[in-house]
Formats: sequence, C-alpha cells, structure tokens
Amino acid sequence: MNHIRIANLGFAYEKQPVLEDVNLEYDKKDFLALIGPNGGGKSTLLKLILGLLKPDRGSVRVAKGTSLAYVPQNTNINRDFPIRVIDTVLMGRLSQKRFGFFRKEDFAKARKALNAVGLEDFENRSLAKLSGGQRQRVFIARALCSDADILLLDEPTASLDSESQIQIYELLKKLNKSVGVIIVSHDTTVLLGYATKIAHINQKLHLHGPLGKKREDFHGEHVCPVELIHAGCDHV
Amino acid sequence: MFEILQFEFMQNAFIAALLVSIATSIIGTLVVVNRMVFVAGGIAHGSYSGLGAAVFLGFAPMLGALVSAVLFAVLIGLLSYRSKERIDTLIGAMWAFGMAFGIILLDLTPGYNVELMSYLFGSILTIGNFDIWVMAGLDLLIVAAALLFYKEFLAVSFDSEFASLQGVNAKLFYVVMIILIALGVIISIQAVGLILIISLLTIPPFMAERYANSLASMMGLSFLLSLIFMYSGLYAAYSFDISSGAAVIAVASVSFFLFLIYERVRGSKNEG
Repeated sequence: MNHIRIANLGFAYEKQPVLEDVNLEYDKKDFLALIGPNGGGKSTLLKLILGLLKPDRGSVRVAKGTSLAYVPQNTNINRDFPIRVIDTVLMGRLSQKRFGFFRKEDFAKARKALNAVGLEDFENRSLAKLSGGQRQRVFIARALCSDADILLLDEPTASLDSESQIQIYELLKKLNKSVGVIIVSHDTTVLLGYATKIAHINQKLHLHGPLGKKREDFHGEHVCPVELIHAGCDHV
Repeated sequence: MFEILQFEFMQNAFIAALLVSIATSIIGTLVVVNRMVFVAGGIAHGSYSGLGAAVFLGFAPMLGALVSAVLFAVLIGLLSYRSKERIDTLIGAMWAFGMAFGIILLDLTPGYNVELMSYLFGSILTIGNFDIWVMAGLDLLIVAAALLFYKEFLAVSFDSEFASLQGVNAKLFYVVMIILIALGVIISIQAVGLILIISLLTIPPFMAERYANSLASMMGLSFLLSLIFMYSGLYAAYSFDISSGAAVIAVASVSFFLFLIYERVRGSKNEG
C-alpha cells in the first residue's frame, strides 16, 4: 500500500526552482532516506509532504487515515527554553484540541512514548540540561505521542557525535517496525546500513532501491563505515 | 518600616506594585522566551501616540494608550509572524513615530504639559482607586488567558511550526500573545513609565529563567523577584525622597548585575 503518493511535484522559492517533476511512492514499512546536496531541496520536499508548504505544480497525496508527525532540526529550537521533558512530549497531544490542561490519558501516552525512546526516567528533567542525542530522542517521542503513522525527520543527527548518531538510527530502525520513517540526512555512509530506500534529491528525485529484504546483504557488500566501527558494528 | 503604609497613596502604590508584578511576570516570561523585547518596547513607545491623541481629544490618557497599544500589537503580530527577523525596522519606525506623534499632540493641547514626564518615568505614588480597578481588570484578563491557553502559548513559543502541524492556530495565538504583551505594557506604564518598562519586563524573567524548568515556574519566580524589586524600590523612594519608578529600576538593575557577577563566578568555579 502506498501511504504517500507524490506526482509531478514542482516547487519554486520566488521563481528559483527547487524541485522539478518529483515522483515518489512511499509505503510506511520503508525507511526512506532523502539525501542530496545542500539546497538540493530535501528539506523543502519534507515540508511539502507535511503540508507546511504548498506545491506549485503536481500533488502530494497522503492516504486517508494516515497521520504524519514532524521531527524538526534540533538546532532550530531555543536551547535554553525552560521546559521539562514530559511537557515537550505532551505537545504531541495538542491535536486532540481539548480545552484547558492535558489529561491523564495524554500523560499516559507521553510516558509510553518516552519509554519507546528509552527516556522513561527523564520525564521531570529539564530539556535544557540534556545532551543533543537525548534532546533528539525527546523530539522523536513528541512525534510518536501524536499517534503518528509516519515520522518525518529533518537531519535528526546533525551536530551529534557518531555514537549518538548510531543510537538514533538504531532507535528509528526499531520504530520502523510499527511506523514509517522518512529522514533527511547528510551522512550517507551511516544511512546505508539502515535505509531500505534512498532518494537522491537535487531538484529532481532519483530513487535507489527498493533495498527491502536485502537490507542486511546490502550492508554487507559495503565496507563498514568508520562511524559504525566506532559503535561496534556487528555485521563484519 | 510599616509607618509608610499609613498614607493612602502609599497603600495604593503597594497594591499597584502587586498588580504590576502579576502582569509583568506573566508577560515578561513570554517576552523573554520569545525574544520579543524589542516588540514590547515598540508597543510601549508606539502607545504614546494614542496617549497624546486621547489628551488632545479630551479622553482618558490611559484609554488612548490602551487602544493604540492593542492596535500596534495586532499590526506587529500580523506582520512579524512569518519573518520575525525582518520586523525590527518597522518596529523602530513605530517606536519613533509613537513618541513624536504623542509629543506633538501634547504640544498642541492648550495648557497641557504637566503629565508628560509622569508617563515617561511613571507615577505610582499618584495612582488613584479607579486606576487600580482598571489594572486589576487587565490583570484578570492576562491571568485568565495564561491559564486557559497555557499549553498553546507554550507550544507556540517553543516550536510554532510543530504546534501548527498539530492543528494549533499558531498565528492566532501569536497575535493574542502580542496583544497580552500590550496589555501588560499598559498596566506597567503608570508604575514605572514608558522608558523603564523594558527592565521590569526583562530583568525578573531573565533571572528566573536560569532556575525554572517550566514557563509556569518561570512566571512564579519572576513574580516574586518583581515584587521584591517593586517593594524595596518603593521603600527606597519614600526613605530618600527620590523618583519611585527610577528607584524600582535601580534596585532591579543593581540586582541584575550582582546576579550576573554571581553566575560568572559560580560558572568559573564549576569549570575549574
């Protein structure tokens, strides 16, 4: 089943074309990586899928009943903001459109999401005091908390050390058993071990894959990337 | 020490200081975490045009200031929602326009130049019962909005893009937040005046931010700080016969600098 279907998509920022004639079909069982040069249109495509931007041409269709959740770039958010971990995750419950304060069931969902990212003991901690990797996991929990079917992440490993990067990828791989993962990323070497489909975007989109079941084989064919060795790569 | 409370104007001043602290701690917290100090300054100074217009036309000055502050708030809110970086020129122009227009209108009003200074530097010692009721009413509005829409204000301040994807009308809450800032500014004008307002909106929340782990605790902590600054400033003003607004801000800024030095010393100790 195709949960996201993009057809003949075109987009320009003030007449400067960013994306042209992009076609893509995405099923949520896939771990899709959007790679490509800076300014190639990766993040723009993510925002078009989310509906934060409107396409100039073509269409983005999200299957009925499929909900998306966004994990923005960590660096876009004020680091010193006074907020607890649990309150950050609870923002994923805003879509319930309830008046006033959050309820018990919202807190239960938030705790479950924190559990899923391995931060169950962090709920009362101050977000400002967490490491970059922990913060990123909080933002993933926030997205999970909204009952999303597909997570869309914009450079979730930017400015993280290689060990935290691997942890994030391992987490996403685990989550990918139940939710879709679409990730914009720079570090292509590491991604090769995790993504089942890779879309290279530089104005146009070229899809590599499906790697599907061959994920492990595909990984084996490659020299284990330096970052993986560091984290203890078990495939070689 | 408590003999100063035997004067009615002093009682009023202390009540007004409490009301101002409620408004500035809630509003100041939103101003500081959203990096909107310049927006608050623009609204405060822009509102001087409304004040001048009201005096010129024979209305209550604070009513004029209130109406123009809210109008400027809506204008800034709508224009700055998309590009928060590009708004500073417009606010700068509004800031200057408000002051110039206000002064000209006051100049053109026959026999009126006494209260000009009182709005620039505040006049908490001359606050009457009516003013106190107006301030209490505006306070109630601010507190109610902060309580009812706490999670929305938090979400929009923290990450408005995510909030809007969750179906929160981020633009609406952003504009409402700026309108609340305008109300908070108006409440504080009489106490500390246009020029000193910024310090009361920023110093207590800035100090509180270092120790708070939520917007609510930041608001609570800055309320206490603000109250301490206001009361000790008022007491100093009474004891040494100096301007109340300036005395309050002097206490606040000296505390602020001591706080910065303390943080610096503590920080270098931790590193060493």
